[in-house]
Amino acid sequence: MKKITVAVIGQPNVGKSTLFNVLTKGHVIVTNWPGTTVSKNEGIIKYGNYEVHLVDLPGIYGLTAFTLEEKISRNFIVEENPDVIVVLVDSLTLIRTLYLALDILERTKRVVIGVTKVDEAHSRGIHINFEILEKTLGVPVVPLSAIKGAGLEELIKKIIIVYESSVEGYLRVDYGELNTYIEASEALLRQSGFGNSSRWLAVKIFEGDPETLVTIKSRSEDLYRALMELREEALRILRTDPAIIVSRSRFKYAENIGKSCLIQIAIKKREISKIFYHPVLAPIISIIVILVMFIMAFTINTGFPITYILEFLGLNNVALIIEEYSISSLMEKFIEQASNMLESALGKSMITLFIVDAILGGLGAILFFLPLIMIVMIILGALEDSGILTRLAVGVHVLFEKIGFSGHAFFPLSISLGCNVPAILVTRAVPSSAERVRLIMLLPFIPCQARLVVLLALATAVKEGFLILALSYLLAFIVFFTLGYTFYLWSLKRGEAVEIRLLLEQPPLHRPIPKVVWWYTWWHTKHFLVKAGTVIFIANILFWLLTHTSPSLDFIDTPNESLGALFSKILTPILTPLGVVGENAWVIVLALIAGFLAKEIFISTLLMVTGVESIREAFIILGVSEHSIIALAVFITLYVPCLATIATIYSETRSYRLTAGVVVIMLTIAYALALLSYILTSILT
Amino acid sequence: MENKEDFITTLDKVSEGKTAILVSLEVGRGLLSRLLNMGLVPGAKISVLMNRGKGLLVVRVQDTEISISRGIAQKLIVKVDS
Repeated sequence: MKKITVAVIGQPNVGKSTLFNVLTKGHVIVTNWPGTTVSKNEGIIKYGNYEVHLVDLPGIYGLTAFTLEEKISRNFIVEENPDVIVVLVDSLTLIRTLYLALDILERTKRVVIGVTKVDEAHSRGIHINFEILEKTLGVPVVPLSAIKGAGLEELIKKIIIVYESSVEGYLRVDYGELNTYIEASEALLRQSGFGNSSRWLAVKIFEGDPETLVTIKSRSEDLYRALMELREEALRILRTDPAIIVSRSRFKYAENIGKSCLIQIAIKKREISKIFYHPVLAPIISIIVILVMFIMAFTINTGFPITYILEFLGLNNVALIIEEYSISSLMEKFIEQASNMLESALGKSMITLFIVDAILGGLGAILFFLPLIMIVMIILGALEDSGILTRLAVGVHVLFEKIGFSGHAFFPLSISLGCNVPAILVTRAVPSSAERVRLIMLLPFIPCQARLVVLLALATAVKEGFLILALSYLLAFIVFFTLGYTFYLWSLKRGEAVEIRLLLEQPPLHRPIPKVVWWYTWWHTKHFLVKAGTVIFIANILFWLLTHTSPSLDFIDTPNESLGALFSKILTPILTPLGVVGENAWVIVLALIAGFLAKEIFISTLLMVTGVESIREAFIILGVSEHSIIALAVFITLYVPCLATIATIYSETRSYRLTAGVVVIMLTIAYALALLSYILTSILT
Repeated sequence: MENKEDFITTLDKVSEGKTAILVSLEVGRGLLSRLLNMGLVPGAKISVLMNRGKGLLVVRVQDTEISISRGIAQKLIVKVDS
């Protein structure tokens, strides 16, 4: 078996992830790029005597590295030197997407070009002569259609051919007036032993690529100075930023290639859907669409809020049926049965208790939320693939702009209603870094599916259950936007560049393709599984141990005397102002600590310690009044991000200060608002 | 050849339905890189699909529809032939 390492790279929207999934038949190994939370997808294909290792690089527009994604892709290609690079270009936007291909070809010709979406191109009147393209670029070109599965085997064959060949060298793009300067730099680099990469590095210097500058500076200060002088001279004489000349020439080069191999017959110019840009209608449409989508997702998941509406209309039976067949209730029954079966199979003992409660309980919690999050993601995936999501983002931009956010905030906010972890990850696409930080700090306020489940359980313990849910969600959004606006004003005052920016490519509108929606769903759900899943699992075990160990470190099955109880009793006075008093008040504290590890453990902890079946009974035993339950609901919605979210905030910002700041802000706000709701409800009722 | 009716302005001033040629980009490094790579290079033909005089603009560059906030458009110097 010969092992071939292949980097797969392409500009955003060229259909890379779709193709990657088809190629690997979904057998993808997901890890993170070292030191980052950017996910790294790898797949292995066996073909004849070869084992082809495909590495999916983040979608980027060019190799000049300013963003994290660009750095990852650039460094993989420059430092890991993959055997073959597959560059994907989009037949619908051939010239523009060839740009990245040219950037890579200037470095190496150990490349196979895959031209995606050829099926769709045809229907749009686009015809590409692949032979001419192949001849011009001097590397194999393979037309592909991920949806129809066309060209996949051909692609693998070409990868092997390039691997076995002794192809060397690189493409020389004509940079016009900059040519002399690039050539002079190239010569200097060659003298300093940079060999075949000299040309590419020379171009990168004129593009101002920070990574290249660092590399060269660390190799030789003199060389760096000489190169900088050349760059400044070019700037002085040509009176244009060399980066612009490079970009322009490369596009011109791509255009010339296009002229020789691309024919586009006149088709009806696609009209833009102006409705999505209407200053009044667009925000209304965007909000209605997203509301309807989430009501759908929530109903499928938990029955809420349709069940409340049905009950209000007096259709209690229908509401009951919907609730019974909601995913969360089905999952609950399934998990309950599984643990009952296991319990009776293993017999009652401390070990059984550990396996059933700690290990299975943890797995159950993850399994429980998997479909809930997936449903949210399927719906968002359909919106994204059809091109509607970016248009909805533009629709809300007008509104968001007034309160310190751009339309870019729309995706993370929507995803947050599913799970905060992937939501924080998608903030990377926000062009303003100040806005990104604001989003990362505030997204944890948005109630995820786990909190929805907790709130629904709390709602069963009070007369006006709907009120709890409405109040919590409303407060969460009010806090999100108020704090967001405050932070925005604050950074304006400090003179940071915080103009609200939007720069968004609008993909063509089309009917969503089920396969693509599924990949989108899986991509986002994976983050919940890998990141949140691990944390929930471990937290569940640790928490079980905490509640089943006595201060003298013996195993006990009465949580009341456990270490956890002891610790909670110390903290109990904090909850006194919320009306949570009495000798059993510590149970609530313990449950809140559990909720910090993973929100949903709040409920199971209450049930476990009180030993009853329903939350309603649990609160009666604990002597917690309705007013306090409402205050607790508010507190739980806002009080602290779960452990997995905290971990993600840190890994995205690398700042302890900011991460701790989020926790402090959330605790403070949650406590203040919980107290306020306690006081208000006590006065009003 | 310089057309005497050509005039230089910023992208946000180009009215809907008109086409302009990008002359230069007066933006910082990070944003510049993003814009260049999306095809907004000097010399690129920009068709303004929507411009209401305030709020977002929608343009087409190299067959791609791009929504762009006015603040960014104000930093893009373009040439319009009337």
